[in-house]
Amino acid sequence: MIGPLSLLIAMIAVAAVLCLLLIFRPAITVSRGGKMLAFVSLFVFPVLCLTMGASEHMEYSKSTAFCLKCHVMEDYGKSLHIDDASFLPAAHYQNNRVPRGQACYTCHTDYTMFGTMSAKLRGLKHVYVQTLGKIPDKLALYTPYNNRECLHCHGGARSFEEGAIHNLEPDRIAKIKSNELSCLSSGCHESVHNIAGLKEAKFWEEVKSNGEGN
Amino acid sequence: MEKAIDRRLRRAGVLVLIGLGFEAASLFWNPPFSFFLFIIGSGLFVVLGILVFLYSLVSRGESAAADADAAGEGLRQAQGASLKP
Repeated sequence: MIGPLSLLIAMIAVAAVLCLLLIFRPAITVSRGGKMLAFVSLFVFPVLCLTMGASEHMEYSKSTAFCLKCHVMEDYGKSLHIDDASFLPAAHYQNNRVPRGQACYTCHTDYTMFGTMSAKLRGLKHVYVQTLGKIPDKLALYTPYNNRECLHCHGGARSFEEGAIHNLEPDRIAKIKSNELSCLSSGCHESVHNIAGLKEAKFWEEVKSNGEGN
Repeated sequence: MEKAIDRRLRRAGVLVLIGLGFEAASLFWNPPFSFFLFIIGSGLFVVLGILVFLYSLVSRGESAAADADAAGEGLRQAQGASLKP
């Protein structure tokens, strides 16, 4: 099965060959067929290649591997393997509650109309800071984590709606849904990446799967 | 004698080829910065190449006239040379 990346590479190769043909034999455009060839070589194929290339880069930027390529993210990547179910990112990652290949993006993108676009713009800023700027000593979210990102998956789930702790007070669920009471509040799901405690943590060794039950 | 449109097609081809080269490099070289290489390198050169190609299409009338003038001048010079004793 040819993947999108292989198809894109093939298209770039074909476009390059056609460009070379026009560079060395521009006179072929005298004929009608030559004119059509020039249009395809110098307009259609380049536009297609650019569009597909942008799409490929966008998809790759969603991957966990992409996020962890920056040195500053190393500890956050390690925190996904903490052997403690109370740590949210680790529990989600290790139990496939989020796709492992897009673990970071799944939680750290806003599920609003321009959610993916704003996540991308933030990502561009991060790449700029990583490459040319000064990385801050302590990383923090731009805004407090919104319950909406949790409820995107957990909202309506029986474990959430009928959970004993969630229904301890009559209006607790309503406060959670309205973001008045954060899921990450003290005493609730407060253990997140826990970068400071990584030295003492135990780690789970990931079992690589080929996605086909093996 | 090379026509003006042929020169523009060559230039457009070279620009697009350079842009495609940058794109291929950005796909094989995967640090986060490769996206900027794609946008700035590939995007810039490919768009410039397309613009040069489109300009060559709309400026065909001007380049045909320039080519005709150049051909006429060449013919006059050749006739002048043949008439000299």
